[in-house]
Amino acid sequence: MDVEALRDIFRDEAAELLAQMEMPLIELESNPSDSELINTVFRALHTIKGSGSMCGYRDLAGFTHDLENLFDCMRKGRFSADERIIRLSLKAKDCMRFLLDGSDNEEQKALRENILQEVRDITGDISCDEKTHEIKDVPEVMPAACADVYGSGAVKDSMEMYRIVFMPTPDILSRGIKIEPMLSELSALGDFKVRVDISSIPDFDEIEPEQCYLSWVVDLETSKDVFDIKNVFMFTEDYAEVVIKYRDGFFLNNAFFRNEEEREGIEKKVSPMLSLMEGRSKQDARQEKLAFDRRRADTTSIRVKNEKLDTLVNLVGELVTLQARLNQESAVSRVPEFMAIAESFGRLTNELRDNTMSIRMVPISETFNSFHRLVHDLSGTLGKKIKLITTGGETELDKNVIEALRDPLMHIIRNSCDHGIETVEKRIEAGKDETGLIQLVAEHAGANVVIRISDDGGGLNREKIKARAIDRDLLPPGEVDDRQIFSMIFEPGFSTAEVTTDISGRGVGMDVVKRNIEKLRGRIVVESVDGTGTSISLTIPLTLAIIDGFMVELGGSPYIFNLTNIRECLDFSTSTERDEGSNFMINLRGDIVPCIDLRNIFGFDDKEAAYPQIVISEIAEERYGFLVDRVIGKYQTVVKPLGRGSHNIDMIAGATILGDGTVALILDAHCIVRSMSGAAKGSVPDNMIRH
Amino acid sequence: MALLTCKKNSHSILVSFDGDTTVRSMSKIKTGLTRLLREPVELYRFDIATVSDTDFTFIQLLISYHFKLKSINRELILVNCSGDNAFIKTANLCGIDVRSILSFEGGADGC
Repeated sequence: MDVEALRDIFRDEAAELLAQMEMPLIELESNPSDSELINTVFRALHTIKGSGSMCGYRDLAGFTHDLENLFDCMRKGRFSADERIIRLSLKAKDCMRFLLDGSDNEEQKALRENILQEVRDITGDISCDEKTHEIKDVPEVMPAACADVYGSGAVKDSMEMYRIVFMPTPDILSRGIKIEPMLSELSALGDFKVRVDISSIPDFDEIEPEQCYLSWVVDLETSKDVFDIKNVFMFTEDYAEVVIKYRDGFFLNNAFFRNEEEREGIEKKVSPMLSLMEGRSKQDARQEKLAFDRRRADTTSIRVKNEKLDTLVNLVGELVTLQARLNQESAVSRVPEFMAIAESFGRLTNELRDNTMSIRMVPISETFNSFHRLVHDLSGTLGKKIKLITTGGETELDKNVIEALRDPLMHIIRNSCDHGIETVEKRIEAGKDETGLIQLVAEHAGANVVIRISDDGGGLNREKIKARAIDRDLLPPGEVDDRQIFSMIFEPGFSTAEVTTDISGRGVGMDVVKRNIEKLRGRIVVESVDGTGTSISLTIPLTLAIIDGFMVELGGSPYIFNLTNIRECLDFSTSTERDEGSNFMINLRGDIVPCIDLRNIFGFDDKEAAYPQIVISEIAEERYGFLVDRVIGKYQTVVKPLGRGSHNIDMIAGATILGDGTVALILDAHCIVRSMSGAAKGSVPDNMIRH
Repeated sequence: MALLTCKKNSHSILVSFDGDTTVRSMSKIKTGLTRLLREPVELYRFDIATVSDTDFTFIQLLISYHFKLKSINRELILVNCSGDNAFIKTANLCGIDVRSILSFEGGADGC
């Protein structure tokens, strides 16, 4: 691997580590003695320093060294994390990002010098890096399982036997980790016996000389506690499996298991390592293929450039289009062999499409985590106490959707901090906790993900918004739905200057938020209770590239709905009474359902089909009907962006190319309902005006 | 940086490793050892007396080389081995029983 490729990998990994550092740093504010948080930051700094130095990032490695020392001192209990250290560390983290991006400048250099000076003031410019460390107290804050192991948390004073299995990944050395010093550190803890498994060393022709093919089993008798042993392996967490077995149970990496409890389940997971522990013969190990599944697992995880992934998705999109054409041709030909091939090809293409789309799915946690820093910084700037709680970070979305969501989410959270959460004094006056809460929740809802941003602040002032909206002719006078009133904050120009006090500024820039969410084919719903808080829900499709579509025909042209909105189809009698306009009602099994004549909307003035049909869809929990000439059916749709200048652009979400080369427009059912409700000005039932 | 010097006679070749034989040099050492396979000799004598700095990657490479030579009916012998040698110290620390896996000139007792 050439140096530049190595540097590329380092940049990606360091960026990830820097992002991962942020959360523990902020959490340290409320848990300054949490050793796990300190260790997490220390490990990240250590890795950045080591790998950075290897990859030629000398300034970065040098700068990180002093910070690493700062956290090493905290690990060793020399001092605790405080507000100053956390502030410095966050600033330093930003500086490291600049160094990593290569966007360093004189101002940054001066800032780094100031940070280092402050760090040295704190540490007294003394290195805390000692190979042999003293017996430490068990950390005050321990994982529940660990606290269980130690009962009252007392220091051990008797000798204990530990068996440690250490199975590194092949590339561990390229991560700047050396194994001999670790073994040496272990040997210094007590009576040490080590065995090695060499059965995975490949033939000389195949061996990669810089990789590790060995695994170790260590028997250690020591008075030190299990945390001292775990500390030896602290830098290897991501690059090795470590099992530490002792009287009370065993640790598999960071998880603790009792011998008796859950043994059966965990044995399956760690069977290769347990077998090594039991000291089975090498022959047995080979027979049972115990040796180093970890390696095999590791080779399944690779880094791929975004551009390559996008190209793959585009190609799969083309393939889906081609498959549709093949289906069409085979159906026309009626040749059984051809049809069978087309069917098999269709199955494979669908599988390929699903797999490809799943590759682009990434958890939203990284985006969520970055907002902790935003809230932390805004709290300081605004002089408020605000806490952000995130839930559902594991929810996966297309990476392009996640990227596009970052700015709207940031804007909403900033607004919540700035205008939603009250000052400490106001909150106490209102009988609330002095710390305001913002919750960020992600959860699946069918083919969508719902992201909810809620705060327990002052809430929106319904009456003021309504009055202003009526004043600006945005709403009709009379009774109006709450959601409709609150949706006014997304109207352009509904700004601070117009709405004051508690809700001031809620509308600033929110029109851009709405536009961005709609670009993602998403929806926004606002709910608020005056004095209690506001909740904004964003409903976003999982992916933008390929959707399950539902094709209909209008005036001889194909149109596509998103299948997720479709509930049923009905035949429609042309003799049903209708207004002159585009809207009418039908009685659907006793329910009145508002319907929209799409022919009218899109200006088809040719003769209506003899047997038109109605597509019943569900939008924001309400049913609407769309009158079309003919229902064609389900269609795999590769979404292509639409060029500017198209008529009715707001009602069209995009376009797709059909198998025969025809372009079909993708209808935005939600926009159609909204546009029609606006155009009708009162002639449409209230329940059609939702957002 | 590792320095490999070779002396050859009709049936054996003596290879002296000098200095650093850690992971940093391992790629070059493998290239050198691969080239030596072309030599028409039966015995490979590796002198490890002046190895000053090493790690397990050198040992695992030698083990792999040892099995390779065995498979083509050739032999690898380590010479000038002693207990305070960096190679043996590293092997001991890593729990690699080189005495039973590899062959030593004059037996493994001296190591």
